[in-house]
Amino acid sequence: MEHSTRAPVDDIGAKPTMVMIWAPSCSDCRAMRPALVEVSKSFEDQVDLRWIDASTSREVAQSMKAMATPTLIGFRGEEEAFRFVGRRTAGELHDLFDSLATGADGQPVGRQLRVIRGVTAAALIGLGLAIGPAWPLVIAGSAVASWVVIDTVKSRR
Amino acid sequence: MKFINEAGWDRIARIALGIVLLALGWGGVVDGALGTVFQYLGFVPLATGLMGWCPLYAVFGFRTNEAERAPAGVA
Repeated sequence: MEHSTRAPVDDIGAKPTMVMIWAPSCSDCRAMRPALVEVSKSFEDQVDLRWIDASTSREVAQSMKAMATPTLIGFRGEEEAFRFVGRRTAGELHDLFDSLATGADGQPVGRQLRVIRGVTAAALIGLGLAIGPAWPLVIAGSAVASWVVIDTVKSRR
Repeated sequence: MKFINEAGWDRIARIALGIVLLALGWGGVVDGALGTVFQYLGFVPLATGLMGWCPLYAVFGFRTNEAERAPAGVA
């Protein structure tokens, strides 16, 4: 039975996000917390971590179709990438964060993609100015640079 | 995103190819009709690499990346 859902949390932006739905009475949640905090720190530039206390934010937890705690939901943008219920080891948590940071199929996301696009923009603008100037290249490079800036601003909202 | 049908290595190769074609065309390394072709054709792999989506792949149902994983686990 699938429970994929779109992220109802309004401030989930373009950056990949891990949502941890927990409860104070959940012993697995308490046991998993130190490892989750530790792993999230090593991915803090690539993946956001959001905590949802099911005991105080019941409506949010229900809207995300969380039936038990702990529930870990990974989002790429607003789309759910994966969902796991139950305790995870530190190694499993690291793999889950890594999959969000790099994409299921090794797609560069987040910072990596912005770097690739930024380098492309710089190469186009530099090339365009060096040879001529070749204004179509400069314009194309400027458009890509604008895309990078807009994407960076959106990901930091 | 579900429409992306290119793997990371595919995207980088396309961007590199596009920049090379554009450099050859606009830099005057390749002259004549071929140079003109390079000048504009170079934007095609560049654009498809940046977007991660190839229309030809889409038409033939081909992809170099893995299909999106279905959400795992049951809540």
